[in-house]
Amino acid sequence: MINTVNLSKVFRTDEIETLALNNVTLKINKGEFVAIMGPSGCGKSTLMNILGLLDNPSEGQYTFNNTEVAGLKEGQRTDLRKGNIGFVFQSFNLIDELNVFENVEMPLVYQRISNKTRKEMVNKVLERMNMSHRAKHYPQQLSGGQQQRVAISRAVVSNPGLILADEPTGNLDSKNGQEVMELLTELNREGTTIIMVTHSIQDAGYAHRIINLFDGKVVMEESLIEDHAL
Amino acid sequence: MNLYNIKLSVKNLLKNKLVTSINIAGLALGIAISLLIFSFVHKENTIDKFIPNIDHVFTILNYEDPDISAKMVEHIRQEIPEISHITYAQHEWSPQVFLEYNNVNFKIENLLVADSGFFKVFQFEAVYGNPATALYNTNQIVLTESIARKIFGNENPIGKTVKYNATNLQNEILKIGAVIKDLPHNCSWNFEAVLSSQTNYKISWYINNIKYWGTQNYAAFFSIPENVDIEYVREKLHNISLNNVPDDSKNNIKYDFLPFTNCYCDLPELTIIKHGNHLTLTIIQIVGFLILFLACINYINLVTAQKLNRLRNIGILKVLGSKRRKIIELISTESLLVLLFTTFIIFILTDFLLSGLNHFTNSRFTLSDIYSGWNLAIFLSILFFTFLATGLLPGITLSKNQASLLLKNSSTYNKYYLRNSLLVFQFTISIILIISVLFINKQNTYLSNLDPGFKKENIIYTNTNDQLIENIDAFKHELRKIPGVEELTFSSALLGYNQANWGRMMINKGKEQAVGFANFFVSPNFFNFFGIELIRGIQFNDYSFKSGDWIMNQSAIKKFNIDQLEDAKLLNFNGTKNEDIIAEIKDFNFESMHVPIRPVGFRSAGDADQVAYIKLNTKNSRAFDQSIIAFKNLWEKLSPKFPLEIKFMDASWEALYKKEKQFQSILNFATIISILLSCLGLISLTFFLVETHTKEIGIRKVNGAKTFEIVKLLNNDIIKWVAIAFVIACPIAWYAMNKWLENFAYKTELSWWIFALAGVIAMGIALLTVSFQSWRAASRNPVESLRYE
Repeated sequence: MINTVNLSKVFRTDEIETLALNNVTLKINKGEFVAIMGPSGCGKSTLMNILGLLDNPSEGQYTFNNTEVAGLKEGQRTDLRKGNIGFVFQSFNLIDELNVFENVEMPLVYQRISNKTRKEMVNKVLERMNMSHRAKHYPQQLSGGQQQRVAISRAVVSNPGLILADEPTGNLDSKNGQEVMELLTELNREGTTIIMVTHSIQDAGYAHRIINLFDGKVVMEESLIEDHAL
Repeated sequence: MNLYNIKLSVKNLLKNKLVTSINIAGLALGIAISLLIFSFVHKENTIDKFIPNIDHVFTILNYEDPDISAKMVEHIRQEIPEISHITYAQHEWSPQVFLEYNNVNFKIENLLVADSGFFKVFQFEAVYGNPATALYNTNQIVLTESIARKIFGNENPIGKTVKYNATNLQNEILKIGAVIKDLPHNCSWNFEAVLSSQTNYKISWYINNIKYWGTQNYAAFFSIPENVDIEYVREKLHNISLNNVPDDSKNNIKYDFLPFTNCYCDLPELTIIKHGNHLTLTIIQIVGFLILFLACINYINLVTAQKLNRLRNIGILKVLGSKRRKIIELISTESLLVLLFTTFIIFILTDFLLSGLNHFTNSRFTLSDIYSGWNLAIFLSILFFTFLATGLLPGITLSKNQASLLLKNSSTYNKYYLRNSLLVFQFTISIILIISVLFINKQNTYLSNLDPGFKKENIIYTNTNDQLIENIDAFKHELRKIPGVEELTFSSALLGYNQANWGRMMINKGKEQAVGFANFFVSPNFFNFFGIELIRGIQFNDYSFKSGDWIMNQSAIKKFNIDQLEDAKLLNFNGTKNEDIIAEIKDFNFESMHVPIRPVGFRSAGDADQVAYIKLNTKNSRAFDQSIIAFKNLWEKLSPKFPLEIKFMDASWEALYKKEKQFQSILNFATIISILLSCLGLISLTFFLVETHTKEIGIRKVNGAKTFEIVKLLNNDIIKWVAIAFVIACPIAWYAMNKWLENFAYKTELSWWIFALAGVIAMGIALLTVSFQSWRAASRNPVESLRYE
């Protein structure tokens, strides 16, 4: 599903160049659950952004679903992203002015899915996440765990093949964190590929494979499931 | 304000060069323009107030009309002794007046003719001599300072003599009785000299002016001592004894008066002075306040919106141990620096715009006028208020926040509704102005294109003079030989500018009736010359001048109820002779189109009269120039004493609409300023909108929104507010334009497309302004928007 060869990303300001990613070569298969770990500033988020088609690499190749995407324009990346990739963030990133239903509905709107279908899809996913009773509530009225469930609902509502989660439990207590991890695992079991950035060894334990980054380089890869079919 | 603060402030300001300059430019422009407007308004409101005792000066009215006869003035003088001084005055009727000194002729614009009381009622300050006694005798004249200097240099001219050469009276020796200071620009009088009225008695026909009760050719004024109650005078005037008034004039008398200072705006019929207009002044004043208000609010808005960006910095300062006072100082320093710089720009701007204002309003403002009295007070308080709102208050509120909150870049700032209503308000004004400008333009174009019913193209005209009249046959003969000259005709007054109105007795179908009408003397070929159609009757012939034949327009024939022209005869002044109406002509606009066509009567002028019109038919501008040169040469040969002034008929007809054109220019200007300020307001609003929606934009983009979809989302809001502004603006503009149209006898329609166009223009400008910023925000990488969560 994901294939990168020698991905590099350089950030430039007037005076300094920062090498955020340094020749990262990765292969992630469909249906995998991969955790990316590493200290602050090691390039995890940069890698996630590139993998999620939010940003372009400075150098290297990136094939997503057999399409070379490294040099795509923003509009093309958006089109490719739509319906294929869902995002979950540490700080949930819900829009405060929209209620739960509207937040979850947003990706479908941009995919130009009809009103009726949208309604069905949102209701289905909210039911599954046990959030139906909160559909008319606004983010501030929900607990952190609930907010993250809404965010996950939004990420999966269009049934994407890939979910990118950037420290999804970072702002949650352990009980809510565990719930979120179980949800992700369940999604993965149903066939969704998941790439997750995390600091928590415990959370990483849910993954099939852990990729360790240090100073923009992949320093170690370990597989947690010996018998997992690669 | 210490050096460290100044350094930090300058750095901050330079970091946002574009926004800072937009800010400063908007505020400076707004304040500068409103200061100029307030100066003008102040001038209009204090008109004539510099004349001593002017609050005790009154204009005499008769049946609400300011046209008074000399006999009436005499009547009032005798019957009401409480009046301390009374005077009558009129513009000199001669189209041209020259004063000759040392064989040089100096042209006098606006010569006033007045009796000896004039400078007692209007106590203008003297430079030389005593104006109050300077008009006692015949052949005396009072000059204004600059005309005296032009003629006599720096000498004291009292007792010196000049030769008076006017169209109506020549070669009179005048004595300079006094010199008064130049009339300031806030004076409703605009004469250059005042001639004692007895001087004109030498003109044979002029004497009628003072002989008859009915020749109401003067404006009259009186003053009362401070201890006399004006209501008492009013009472006496209303009940004045008519014992000494001849029977046929008794019914024509009903005196009243108006305070002189009110006449500037309220009595446009008093043509002897300049006039202002309440409505225009009010509109201008409102526009001034709006511009000031909008500029300040915009500035404050933009600055405070920007401060949001800086919350983190303030947070850091707090974490680093800066005291609250220091933070307030820092923010205040920055605001103070900007305002100092703005003040500097305002000075430059006012200086730069001053000559425009003076040219535009016919005034003589100086920079010190702009920065004095009320204006200065307004200026300083605006600066102080802006300082409070952009420096001190934000400093106090921002520094109150906790450091942790500030670091997260959020604060208790929320003025969403205020910002939105402000936007609606600004756009309402802009749209009203756009509609007005479009419409006034339409009306003016309509008036210019409207056919006045006579041909005014390719016609030049000039005023004749005595020397020329003496050589009139040679003039006519020679002129017609100049190539390109097609035709020549004369009239007593310029078409469009006639002020002569006659009242006569008419016998129609055996019954006697009093009739009033505008009056022209014209050459026999006048109607042919201007292409004015004869409906019935015959043109003037060689005898018409002597026999006093009349040609009248349709309106007159209709109003005077004349069926057969032969039925109606006009009686001459002393009732000794009957005059025939020999023709009826088609109605045409002999006055400006502000008024409908009214009755007018023409009489034959004989050989020549005061205005000579020449129709030219030249192939190109070179041929035209050659004809003009030949004409000039002829003029110099036949009337060497008087300089030639050539004017164009179509230009002088256009000039009748000068006020409308001027009003249009003022509104054009106000509209541009208002749109500019609205755009600034919009920029600050969008700035704010984008700042507060950064996260949302990022989230939406991550979830598949394309750039144009984000732009649409941000613009939607603006479109909504501008649409609301449009809905509010339309009825107001409609009402205002209907009111304005009441000034015209000929009006175009208030078409719907003007409103639509104004809406489209406003919307277009708004979207252009916003889209730039929203595009920038929307095309930002969402990763950046979400980075600082």
